[in-house]
Amino acid sequence: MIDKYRQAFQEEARELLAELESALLELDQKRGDQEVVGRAFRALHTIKGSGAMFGFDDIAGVAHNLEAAFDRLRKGELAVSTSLINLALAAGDQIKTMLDASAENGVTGPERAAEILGQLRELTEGPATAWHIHFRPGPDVLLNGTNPLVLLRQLEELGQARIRVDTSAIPRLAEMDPERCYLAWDIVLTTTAPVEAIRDVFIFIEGECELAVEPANGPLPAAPQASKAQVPELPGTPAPAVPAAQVSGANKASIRVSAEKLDQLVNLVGELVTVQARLSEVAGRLDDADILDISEAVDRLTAALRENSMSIRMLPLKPTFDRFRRLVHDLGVELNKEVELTVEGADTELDKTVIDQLNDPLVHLVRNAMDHGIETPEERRVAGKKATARIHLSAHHAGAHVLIRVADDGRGVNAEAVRARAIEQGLIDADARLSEEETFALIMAPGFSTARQVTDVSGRGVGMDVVRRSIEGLRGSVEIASRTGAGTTVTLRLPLTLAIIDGLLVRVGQAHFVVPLANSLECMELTSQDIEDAHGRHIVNVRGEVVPYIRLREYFLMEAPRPDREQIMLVETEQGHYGFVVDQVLGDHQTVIKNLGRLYRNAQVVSGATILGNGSVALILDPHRLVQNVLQTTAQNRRFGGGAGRQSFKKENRIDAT
Amino acid sequence: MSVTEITDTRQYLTFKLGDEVFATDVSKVREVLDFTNITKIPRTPDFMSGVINLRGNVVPVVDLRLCFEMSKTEKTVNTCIVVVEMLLEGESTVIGALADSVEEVIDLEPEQIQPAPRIGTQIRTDFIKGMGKRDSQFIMILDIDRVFSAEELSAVRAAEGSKTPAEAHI
Repeated sequence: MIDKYRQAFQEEARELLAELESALLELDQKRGDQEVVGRAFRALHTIKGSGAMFGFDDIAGVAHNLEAAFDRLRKGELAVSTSLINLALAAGDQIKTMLDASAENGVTGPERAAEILGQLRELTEGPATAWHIHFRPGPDVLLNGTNPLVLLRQLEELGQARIRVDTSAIPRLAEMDPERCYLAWDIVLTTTAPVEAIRDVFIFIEGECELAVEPANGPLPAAPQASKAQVPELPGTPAPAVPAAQVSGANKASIRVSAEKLDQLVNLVGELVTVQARLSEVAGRLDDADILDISEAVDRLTAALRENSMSIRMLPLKPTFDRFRRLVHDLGVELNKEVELTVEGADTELDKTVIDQLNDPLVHLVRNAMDHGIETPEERRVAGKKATARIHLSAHHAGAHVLIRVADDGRGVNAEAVRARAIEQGLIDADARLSEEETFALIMAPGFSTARQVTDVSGRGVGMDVVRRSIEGLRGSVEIASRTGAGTTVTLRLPLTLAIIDGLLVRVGQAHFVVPLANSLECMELTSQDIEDAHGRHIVNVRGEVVPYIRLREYFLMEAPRPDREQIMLVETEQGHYGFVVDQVLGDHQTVIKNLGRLYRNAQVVSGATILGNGSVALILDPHRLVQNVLQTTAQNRRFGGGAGRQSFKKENRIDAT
Repeated sequence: MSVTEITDTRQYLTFKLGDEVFATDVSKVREVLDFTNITKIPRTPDFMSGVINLRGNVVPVVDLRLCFEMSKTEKTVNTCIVVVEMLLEGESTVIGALADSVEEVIDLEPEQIQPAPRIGTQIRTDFIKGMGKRDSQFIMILDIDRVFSAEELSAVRAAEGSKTPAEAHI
């Protein structure tokens, strides 16, 4: 039972630590922002409180000291400094280590904690921080008019005091003399004031009391919660800033569910969707009104269920992005570079599975940018740039995808150096004519990056093939854009979800394809009049807009003859609007995405497969890559002097396929 | 490639491609399916026949005959898909292989297996773990992991040859 609570505390504490860390890093950017200081303070306060409650005294101890420092920041008695933030980060890490150790029932050495606390004390409080004061007034102290309460209040003015009363000496009521003082106090005073100031408080009764003032070390004599019950709270004692529940709960009722259960749910929903597809197929064939009715109801329910279970797995990118503040901060210190991290679109949501696997590639990219992309402050000054470099992390939606960009304003990648190296390594022919985009893509070719010294020339590239592989494993893609001297932008294109999408089912010949609904704009007939109007060019006029189209039958080299009536679906890609000509648009389809596996990871325009109601397999098209592919092929035709237009386009494809 | 590597295996599934008899370690074989509809993935090499629906999972199928430079598999009543589980670049992958017919599971003692001859076979010797002999027939024991990894690489290379190099990397 206790274990369960301890575990809950550990989970909560980890969240709070993350919150603390993000607050600290934000504070580093916006020094003096009281709101951020308050956030850090509250996180610490809660860690301390619940830590002590569940017996994590060591953690509570560290948190307490840190909290004290932040309390002073809050009161404006202390200014934010880089060393304070670094120290606070280190203390946060220490708490995390302690948590990990307690999770495994291990014990951490107290040395590190003591060291951090020592530094913290020095930094915030000067030489003296916490004093342990034992104060037992003489029995006659009340007789000469001294009020111990006043003395205690004076102490409180020196700093933060935690006062505990010792009532052990009070005799039984019959024997008690109301004019005598039987009480004693133990006070832990956190203050910058010298020890003399403390002694001065007691100067008038020094002869008449037992007084011991010594530096306090280690945890408090009693946990704050425990003492609260015994000690009548003195007026003026600082109340806890904000009740803990209010901090972490943020007004939203939520429960914790293990990720495994969610995965199971989504798998089941996936199977349900497949069965539902079979049901509607059968219902359509039987053409029985009752069954059609049921089938449609099941259809609606499955769609709603699917949407719901998917949305449960969607998480904002914020925690992932926030982690990079720390990375950039630490690397900046390590590499002696001044870097400011800006974040955009951190609220963008992605499937949990995608997010989980996104961290490593992103770390790699950010590290790369810090290591190779960004110059030292001196170099930057020479180049006439601001000494503080910028790394910009951004995320935004684009159809069924999310684009995540890591942009820096560093030295950029030298396309010539990349090219030279690629030729040297035999990746391309010496006379190959590549666009800039294609050249940068070479950085990600396997084998390119193994040579360390090139990466220094090009400023990039250590393990970029690893990044590409893991992103492609998520059915995403990587693009690099760079300008020498101005910086590099790496764009990761990731699918919103790895499990189920809404798609539009189309038919070309006997083959079925699914186009993500998020990319689809509209469908219409492609009449022979339209074809005639375009004079053989593959363009169509959509309400005044000229839209080029791709006839999938030709692109996929299907031999079946063209039907008399074709349909065209307009899709939105990053390259603009395009039309895909198909035989028939069959309608929307809840698509459970099945991976094509490693064997087909070179398949460019197909991002996966799905199983239709009748058990056959339909391929999921990636409109973006399809269009990109066609554009590239035609561009190459032009560059290599081949005749422009359809004829050579077809020829090229034929070579590809064999 | 030495014979000693395979002393532990005793059972092999034999199948035919044309007139040649091939065998693969039975522990790699998950099941044998009748020929079903294969969905071709556009613009992929010919030896990659496409994908099939295997009880709700999408499984790629390859045409072994094309891998071994024979003519394309023609569908007959005997055509089967041998579903094997193998390592592709260190990852366990399920792949279906087209076979003209599947024969039987046989026992072969290690001493019945000889190293593959360097010349005189139609297919590349590095795909062959060894040659078994049964009655008067030679059986080529395939190193199934190697067939696909090597074949895949050469396919990529072939694809690169026809496109410009850059396109292969995007």
